[in-house]
Amino acid sequence: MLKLVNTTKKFTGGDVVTTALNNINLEIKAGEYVAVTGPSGCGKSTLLSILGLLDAPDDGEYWFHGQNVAAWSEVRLSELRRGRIGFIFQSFNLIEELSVDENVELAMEYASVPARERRERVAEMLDKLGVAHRAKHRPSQLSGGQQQRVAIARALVNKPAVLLADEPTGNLDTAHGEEVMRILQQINDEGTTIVMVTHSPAHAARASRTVGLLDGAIAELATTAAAT
Amino acid sequence: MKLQDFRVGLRILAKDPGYSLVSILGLGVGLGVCLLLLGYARYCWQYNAQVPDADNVYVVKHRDNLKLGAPWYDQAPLLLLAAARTVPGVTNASAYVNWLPLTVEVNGRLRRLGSLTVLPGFAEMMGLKAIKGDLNDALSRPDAFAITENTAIRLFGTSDVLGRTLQLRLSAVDENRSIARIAAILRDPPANTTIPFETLNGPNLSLVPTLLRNELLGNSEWMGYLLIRVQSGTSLAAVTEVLQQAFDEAPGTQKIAPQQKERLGDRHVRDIKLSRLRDAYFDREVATDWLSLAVDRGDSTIVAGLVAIALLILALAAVNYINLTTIRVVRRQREIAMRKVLGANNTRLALQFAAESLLVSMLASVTGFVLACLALPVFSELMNRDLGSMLSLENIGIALGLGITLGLTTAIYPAWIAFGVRTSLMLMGRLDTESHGSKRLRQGLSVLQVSAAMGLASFTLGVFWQARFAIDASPGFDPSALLVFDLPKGAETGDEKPRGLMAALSQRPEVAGIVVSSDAVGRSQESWNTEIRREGREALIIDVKSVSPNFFQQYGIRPAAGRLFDPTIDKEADSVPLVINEIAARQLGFASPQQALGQALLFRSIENDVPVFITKRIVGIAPEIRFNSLRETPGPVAYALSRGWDVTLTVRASGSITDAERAAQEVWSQYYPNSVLEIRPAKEIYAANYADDARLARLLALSTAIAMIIAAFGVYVLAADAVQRRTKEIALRKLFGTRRRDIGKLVAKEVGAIILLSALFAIPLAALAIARYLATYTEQTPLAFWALAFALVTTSATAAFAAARQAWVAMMLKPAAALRT
Repeated sequence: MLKLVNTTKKFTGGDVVTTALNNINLEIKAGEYVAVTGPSGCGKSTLLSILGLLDAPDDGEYWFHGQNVAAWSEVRLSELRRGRIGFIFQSFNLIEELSVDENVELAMEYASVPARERRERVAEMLDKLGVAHRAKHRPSQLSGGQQQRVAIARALVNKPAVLLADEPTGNLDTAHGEEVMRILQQINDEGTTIVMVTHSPAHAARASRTVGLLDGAIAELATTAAAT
Repeated sequence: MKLQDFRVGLRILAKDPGYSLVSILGLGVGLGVCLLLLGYARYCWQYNAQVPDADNVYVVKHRDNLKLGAPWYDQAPLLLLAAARTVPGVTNASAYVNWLPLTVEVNGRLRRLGSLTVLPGFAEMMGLKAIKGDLNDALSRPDAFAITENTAIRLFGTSDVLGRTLQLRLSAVDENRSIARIAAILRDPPANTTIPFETLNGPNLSLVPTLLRNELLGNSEWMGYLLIRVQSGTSLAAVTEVLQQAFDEAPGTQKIAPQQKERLGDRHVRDIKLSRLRDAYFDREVATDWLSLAVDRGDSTIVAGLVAIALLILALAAVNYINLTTIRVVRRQREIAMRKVLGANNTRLALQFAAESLLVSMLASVTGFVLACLALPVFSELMNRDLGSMLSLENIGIALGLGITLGLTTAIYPAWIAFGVRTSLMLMGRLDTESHGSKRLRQGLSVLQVSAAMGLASFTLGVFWQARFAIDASPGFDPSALLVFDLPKGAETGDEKPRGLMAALSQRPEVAGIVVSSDAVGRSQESWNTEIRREGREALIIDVKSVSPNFFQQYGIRPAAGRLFDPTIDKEADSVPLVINEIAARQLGFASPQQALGQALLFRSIENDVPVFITKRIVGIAPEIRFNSLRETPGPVAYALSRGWDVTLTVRASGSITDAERAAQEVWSQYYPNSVLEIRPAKEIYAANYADDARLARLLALSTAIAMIIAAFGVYVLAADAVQRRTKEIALRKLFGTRRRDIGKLVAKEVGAIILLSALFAIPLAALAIARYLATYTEQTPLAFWALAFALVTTSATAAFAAARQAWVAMMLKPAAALRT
């Protein structure tokens, strides 16, 4: 489903060139639950941004659903991404000026889903994630766990094939973190491919496969106990 | 754009009411000022636009080449009408005159009306239609006339006056009366017209003397205001040629004396020319005399300047708003990145920002419109124009259009920043920073704001000081004890009644003396240029002032050489004695003023319509008296003794000028009970020459104040942003022991750089503008260029004050708390 072939990404800041990803080869099959681990600055977020079509590699190939999108422009990547990839972030990234239901609806608006269908799916998703009673609240009125559930709802409302999660439990306490992990598991069980960046070995163990990054390269690939 | 975008915009405004108020109010003030100034410019450019097909209507002007140095007048001989009607392409030719002002008695008081006597075709030319009654009837019958709606309400308290009969006379001094009825009621002409009227009558009105009626309806050489409408594409040169020929071949023209023909050479007796009616308001070459219709004239350069100021202030307000919005967009980068992650493309983002910006600009438009309405009465008074019509639906539409344009334009830069937000950087937590280029652009915009304020302040002060200098400039005598008034139209100082008035007034203890002259000193209502020469020498064109023998004595003027007119020696109408000024003496070739004394001069005069040269003898040389404004170079002047045809009286007060004025009012009311005395201090006559400059200075002062406030706010925002941006740096500096005052200097440096750059930009431009303005004056205030220094100091102080609070915030910053956040 997702395949990186000799993929490299560099960042230039003044005279300094940083290689964030160095010749990465990685394949993620449909339905997989992959955890990406590694120390700070090893390239996890860069990997996620390339997988999520937010950025393009400088070298190599990236095969997304059978198309090599490595050389695509930002506009084309944006169109491809719309409705196919969901994102969850450590800091939730909900828009404060919108209510909970409006935040979830925003993803469908950009995907040109008709208004009636949007309303139905929003209600369904909020109910599924247990935040329907907060539909008209603003994000700042919710707890961290509730905000992340709203973010998950937003990420899933378009029924994406892939869900990318960047440290989804990083700003949550243990209980809420557990809750989020349980939801992710449920989503994966329903068939959604998940790629999750995490610092937590316990959470990484919940995935079917772990990819360890170090200095922009894959240092370790392991199948976890959860896969077996 | 979606409703959601406006909803989000509204929530953003509500979230930060302080920011929102400043944004909307700042933009609103800019829009309000812009509306007023642009509305005024439109008012000026729309003069006479109410006339149907106004672009093809022309005023016929003439210049009398028999009078040396004569200007153009917007009147022409009535005989040209018949000629105009024969030209192919001329669809209408008509005329109006204002020599027959109807006076009507209402509630025991005589009221003189702004009346026009109009010839056939006028109503059609002007597109006039009666609201009530029959206009044709009103303009053709001997016992009928038309009145405007507001005039009727002013006189009678109601516009329902159709059929009312009134006793009319032609002036307060005229004994002839006539009964006429109101046969038609018209809409009032707009304030922006050069053809104002309160009543209209035809030449057949019985009150019109037969002689005048015959002149109006016949092929008369008498002057009237001629209007010609042509079809599009008609050759104006052809029309002008026909009119010129008609005048050249007129019997009166043929009768000029051979000496006059010889002097004219190839020139016509009168030059005839056509001028667009739409351009009449800005036609500065047209002169007025005491018979002219009193209309306002404008200066197109000043109006264009006001438009530039309006757009500048709007630009400053827009820059402020863009600065605020840009800062806000930078802080919303995370949101923008998230929207892009969710699938928003650039078009969607642009529409969102456009909607938010439109919301603010629409609210600002409403605010600006309300402010403009509230300020309109004061603005009208400031501009000395009736600007009530500015609140038209059309102008409201233009205001809305301006608001929409502003909203869309101010969204461009913030949208551009949003386009550049990299979503991948958001994942890496590297947002909330502004690019170097963006920062520089905002600083550049702040420089522009402060420059504009500094430049405007400099120019304003320059204009103000020059106007003050001109008003206070000595006219060559002390005007403080002098009052000036004119006799009623039709009266001359040689008539019995005026003589009686003068005798009675001179008996009053409050009055030290009364002077007769052809015009008030400092006013150019009446001009008399003629030729004088020394035997065997070239002729000199000279401005002649007709004065009574006591003129110099009452004005307190002493001779530069010889003697001036003396009532004990000189008698009125004595044609021999002549006084000239030093410039005339020099230009006549005298080596010194003393040399001119006793010399004979040939003075060209008109006797029985024939030019003759009479001999006059120079009895004295007068010092310079400022007859004209400081814009005109003083020229040669001659003083001749009055012959009883003059109309201006000057009263010297023996004590208080107020008492003298009261005495004049009392005596006037005995001789002219039905005429209002319009008496003014002599100083005011001078000040009137600079009324436009004083008005311009006040308007500029207001604009400068607004520009300063906007610029100060811009500096405040810049300083606030600088402190916010450098919070970490400031905290670290403090951790390493930097003193508070050094932190304050950091902020001061940033603001100081803005002020310095602004000065480098603004001061030279302002100096150039001041120099160009001063070049219109023959004498200039020595203070003008001090305006630059004063403006620099004032603007710098304002900017420093605006930044002071942020400097204080930076100085008081707690490092630990700052580093934690």
